[in-house]
Amino acid sequence: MEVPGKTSEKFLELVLLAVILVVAACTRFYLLDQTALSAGELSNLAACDVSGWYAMVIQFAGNSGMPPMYPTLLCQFIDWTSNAEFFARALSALAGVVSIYMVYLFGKHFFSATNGLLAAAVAATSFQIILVDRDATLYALLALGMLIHSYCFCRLLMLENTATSQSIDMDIKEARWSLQWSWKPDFVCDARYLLGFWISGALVFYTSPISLILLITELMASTFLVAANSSRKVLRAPWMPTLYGLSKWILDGNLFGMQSLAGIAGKLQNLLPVDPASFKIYCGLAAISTVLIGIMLLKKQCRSPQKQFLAFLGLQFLAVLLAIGLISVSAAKSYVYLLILALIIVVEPIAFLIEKYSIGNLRNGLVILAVLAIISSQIASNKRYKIYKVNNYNGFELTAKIIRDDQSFMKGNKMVFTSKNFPKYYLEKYGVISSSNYFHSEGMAEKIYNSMESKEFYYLEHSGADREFSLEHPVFQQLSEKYKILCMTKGGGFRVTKFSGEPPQNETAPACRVRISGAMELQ
Amino acid sequence: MKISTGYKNETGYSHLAAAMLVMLIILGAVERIYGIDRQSLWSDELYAVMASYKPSYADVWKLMLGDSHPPGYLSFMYLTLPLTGYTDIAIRMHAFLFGILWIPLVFWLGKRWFSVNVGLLAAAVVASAYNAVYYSQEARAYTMLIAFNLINLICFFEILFTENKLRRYVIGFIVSTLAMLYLHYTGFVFLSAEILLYFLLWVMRQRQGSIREAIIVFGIPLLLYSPWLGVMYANMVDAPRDWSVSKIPTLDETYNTLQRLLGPDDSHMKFHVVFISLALLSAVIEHIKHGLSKKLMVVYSLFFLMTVPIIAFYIQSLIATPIFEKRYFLTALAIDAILVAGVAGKIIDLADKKWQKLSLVMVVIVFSVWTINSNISARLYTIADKDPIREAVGIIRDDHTGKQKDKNYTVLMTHDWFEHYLKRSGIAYDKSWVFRHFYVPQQIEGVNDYLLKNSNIDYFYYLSLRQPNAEAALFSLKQNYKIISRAEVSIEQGTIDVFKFSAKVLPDEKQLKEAGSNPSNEIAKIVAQDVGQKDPATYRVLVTHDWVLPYLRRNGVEVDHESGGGSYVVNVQAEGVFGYINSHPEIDALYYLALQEPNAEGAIFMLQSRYLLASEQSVETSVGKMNILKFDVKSGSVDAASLHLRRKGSRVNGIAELLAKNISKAPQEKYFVAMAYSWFEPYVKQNGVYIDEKQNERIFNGVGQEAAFFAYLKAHPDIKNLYYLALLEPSAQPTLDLLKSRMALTCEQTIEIATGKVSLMKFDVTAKPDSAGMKVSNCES
Repeated sequence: MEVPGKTSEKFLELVLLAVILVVAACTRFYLLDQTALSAGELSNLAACDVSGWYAMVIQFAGNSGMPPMYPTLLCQFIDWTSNAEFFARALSALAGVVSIYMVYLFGKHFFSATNGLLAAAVAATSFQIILVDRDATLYALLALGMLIHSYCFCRLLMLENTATSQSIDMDIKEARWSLQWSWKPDFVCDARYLLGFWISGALVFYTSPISLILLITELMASTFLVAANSSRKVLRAPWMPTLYGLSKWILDGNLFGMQSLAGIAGKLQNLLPVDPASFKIYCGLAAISTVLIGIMLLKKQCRSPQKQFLAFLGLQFLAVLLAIGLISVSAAKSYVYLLILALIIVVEPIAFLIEKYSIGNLRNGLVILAVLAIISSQIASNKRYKIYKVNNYNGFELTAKIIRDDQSFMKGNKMVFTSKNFPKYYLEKYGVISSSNYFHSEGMAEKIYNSMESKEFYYLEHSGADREFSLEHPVFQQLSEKYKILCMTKGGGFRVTKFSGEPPQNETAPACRVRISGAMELQ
Repeated sequence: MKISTGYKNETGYSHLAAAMLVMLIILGAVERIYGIDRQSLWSDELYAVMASYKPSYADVWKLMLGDSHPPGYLSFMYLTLPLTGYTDIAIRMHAFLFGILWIPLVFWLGKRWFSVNVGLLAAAVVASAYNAVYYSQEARAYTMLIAFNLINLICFFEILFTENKLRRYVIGFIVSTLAMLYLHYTGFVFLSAEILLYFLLWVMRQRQGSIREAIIVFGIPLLLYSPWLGVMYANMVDAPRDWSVSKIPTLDETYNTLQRLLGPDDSHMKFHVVFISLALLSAVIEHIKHGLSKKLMVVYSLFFLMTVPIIAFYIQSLIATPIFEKRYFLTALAIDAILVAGVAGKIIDLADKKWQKLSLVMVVIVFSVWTINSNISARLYTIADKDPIREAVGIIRDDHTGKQKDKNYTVLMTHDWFEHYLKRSGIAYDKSWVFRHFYVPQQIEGVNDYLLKNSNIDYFYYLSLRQPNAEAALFSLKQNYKIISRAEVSIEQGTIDVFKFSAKVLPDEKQLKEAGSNPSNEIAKIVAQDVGQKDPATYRVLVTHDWVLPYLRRNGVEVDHESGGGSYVVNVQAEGVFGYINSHPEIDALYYLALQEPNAEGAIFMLQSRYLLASEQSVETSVGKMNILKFDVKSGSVDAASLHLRRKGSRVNGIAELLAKNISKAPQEKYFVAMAYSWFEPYVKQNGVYIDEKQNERIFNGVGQEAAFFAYLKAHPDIKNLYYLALLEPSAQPTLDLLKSRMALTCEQTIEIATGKVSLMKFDVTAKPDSAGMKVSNCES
């Protein structure tokens, strides 16, 4: 610390980066399992019940229409750790923390270390990004893959550009990682980035088809931004098997269709800050940044890699806007990586101003202040908007608790039928079911008719969303015509009904209750 | 960054080391933040929170003087909580931040005196250590204290073992010493160990010390701590009352404490013990082989500072108050991490150079996974061991919704720390009402009075930590008010009950029956059994405490006499009782239910000296022994040993004894004893002083009686001295002035009793008040 000059700045940078990563980890892991798993998360976890990887892939792809990378990693991760809610979400949270590091790398490499730190600080505490990273769905992993892939692409792109004008050997920082093929001697690159590019490519393309957007932008970038024609083939190489694999899906799936403006706005809203003040600040800074960058481009003050990166980012923006407008099935969370990248542009005016201070200590002080201000203000804003209580859909857990608290039922022959497979996780967790007393197949009604004449059983229906239950499932109608309803409770997106084998009676059934621990009981 | 130490080759930060340290810090942060506010704040944490609500620092200071800790932590909380806010996470944030700080600090120590590898391994040990994580989630001084201890240790070793001491380490040592001294008394023990080490090294000629250096590094912090030394001494003296926090450290207890300190389970403890032993063994072998080096001195010093405070606490716990508690040894945990890492680092160094980095990474990962897995098995991240205060208050918050919102209510509680969550939940309670803290049944009258005065209150909640006293208090509420609803929240260690009582409706028979009995009710039953079917007019019940009355009523004993509730607490009230009995000749029995305390002893003595004590029983209650005395008012007193014991137990007896001593063997005709109230008389008589009971003049307490009084004295010219016993109250002053104006006061002695002061005065009847040379002396002399 006492050493003046660059070493102390590097040390400060390291400390600030560590602080930001700690904050990112804290905001993502804090009470990670406080809320119950949602339908989307449970559907991912349900894939882990299938024995055999191929069977799992077939089922997952059949249910979700998605490639199998995420459930493969998720199932392996919870196999190594635990099936608890915390570990189901921990994979996403971990990916989220690494994404913050990636933002820092982007900012540092293409603008400045200050930019990297500020962008990482914003990303670490951003409301929407945290929400995505606390969800046991593929989006956090997809964002990380997209970021790594983009970063590696940009590094290879940048290297290529400089390589054409300067000595190749001098440009590779660490010679031991340099790679030069005999069949393509004019393409020299850093093997780490190329490896990262290919691996992350496989990761993203087998995680979500939305990564096609990246494919398009990278194809365009490699065509228009890479000066040397020779390397295009190398950069495009990993796409070929992916394109082949995805072709059937693209052709079969009814993916495209013009979206309404309201639909586009709705999707965009899921990416923007919920706090109006933050939203205004983001927009203002982004506008200033655009003007600033425009001026610098006009004045030709931008470095070559910076220009390439900005062009690449611009292409991605256009592609994502087109995708939001044209692809009906894409969820807004799929584009969170671009939101993370956009933060580099958003913070640039502040970083630019700080970098203008030539006195090292003053500059360092301003960086510390800016990072702390960003973190504290965003955390306060997140707290105001109850970040750790949103998306709290507990329908699946509640239905399992209702059955658990039905002591007479739990002592007897516990038969449970569900319209979907998702409730299984909580039914197992609360000891309601085992493999022999739980059914959710297509021919379920038949099974009930044939085997449940004189017994009590529960029938669970879930719409999987936090809204009033309004489905009229044909199975329920058939059951209610044949059996007496002992109790029934409808809640946000779920209905739980207890039937007995007796014929139906024309009386209103009472509500099925959950014993709320600690609630006051009348004396 | 590189720090030159002058004697050790060091490696600077490599990218791998920096990345590993950052990852360990992240891992430590995740373990500490996850579930940081999963549990409610508990009583010890809320003590500091409640202190921070005090309007001025002077109020907090008063609190700290009565506390068993130095003032640093409460002051810190008082100053910072208004800034950070009062959410659970904000209140515990300092523990979290200082807890994370342990990781880079032990890394620093390990790297500075051993190697980067040792630093990283030590950081890995601390990052996931059970107690390091546990105390990082508790709003108490411990993580802050250990962080300052580690800073202190870093600076201390720089002062001890480097040739060119930097001024910043001296300043750092002084500041960190001051911080740890003011945070906790274990800081004082640690400093004492450091001072001992300093002089030991000097005496053993391993290091050349200097008086000047010692004065600067130890003298300045101690001087700055000296204002608190007096309070610390008082706390030490009061240790049995304030500090008893553990059992006496038997072999089993010591083993358990060390096991709880070193790891979540037995295997971790064994691992640490084996590695510490190896560290010591390898140091000794190296010492024998190559002689004493600076590095070895560091190892020995670490051992010394790790063990000496533990031994100090062990000895203190054996000979005085047991304070052998793991939380006082957390510094040892950090030092242990460095020593264990030192051995592990040596093992890694044995590997081929190119495999060392990989080995290091693998060891760190395996150790972290093993520790975290053990922590999960020991339920560190899901443990429920803190009083569920927040949850209990949450029940009231959830209950007071809908139609209930329009109704008026208040909240009673056994402990003041419920108020933090009541405030945060916006639940109304009367802050100015002292009996909102309802903990013992004696306070029931205060509750009854309040609810009578505040007739707009429809119902009230009672938050009760389940303890024997609170059970008795709860019983008195159940006896008086109808329970509307109830709930309870439990953890492994205890339960908090939440009751909702109607302030308007009396309990029904079912509730009274279900409430069961308690000692007070048993007492009432004894009286009821004795009274039987007697006519209520034939007996009278007196009590020292009104809270027994509902139980007596419930058991059919008549207590609602026309003259009031039958409260009789001190001997000065005896005349009222005698008067009542005299005016009600139909009364033949008098029951007196008296809690055993000095005042009541005097009150009993008065009754016993007048009436026959027919029976006496006692029952243990939550607040002490309750005596049940029955007097036969138709029979006179008998001389009994118990009567003498009670007389001697009463303070008034002191003045009667003095009177007897003064009179000594003087002939009866030479003196006259007068008194302001007749309740002095039994004491006087029991001390063998002659009193002419036929003479009404002996009771002299008014200016209107002076004619008869002085006529009596005139009629008895042999009387040389008048002894007068007076209760020093404003109304007695004219009588005293009158006596002093008519005769010479020769001696006077005053003693304090429960109701004020009583005075013995000796007058020389034959001398004028202004007699020359007459001096008023102390009757004692």
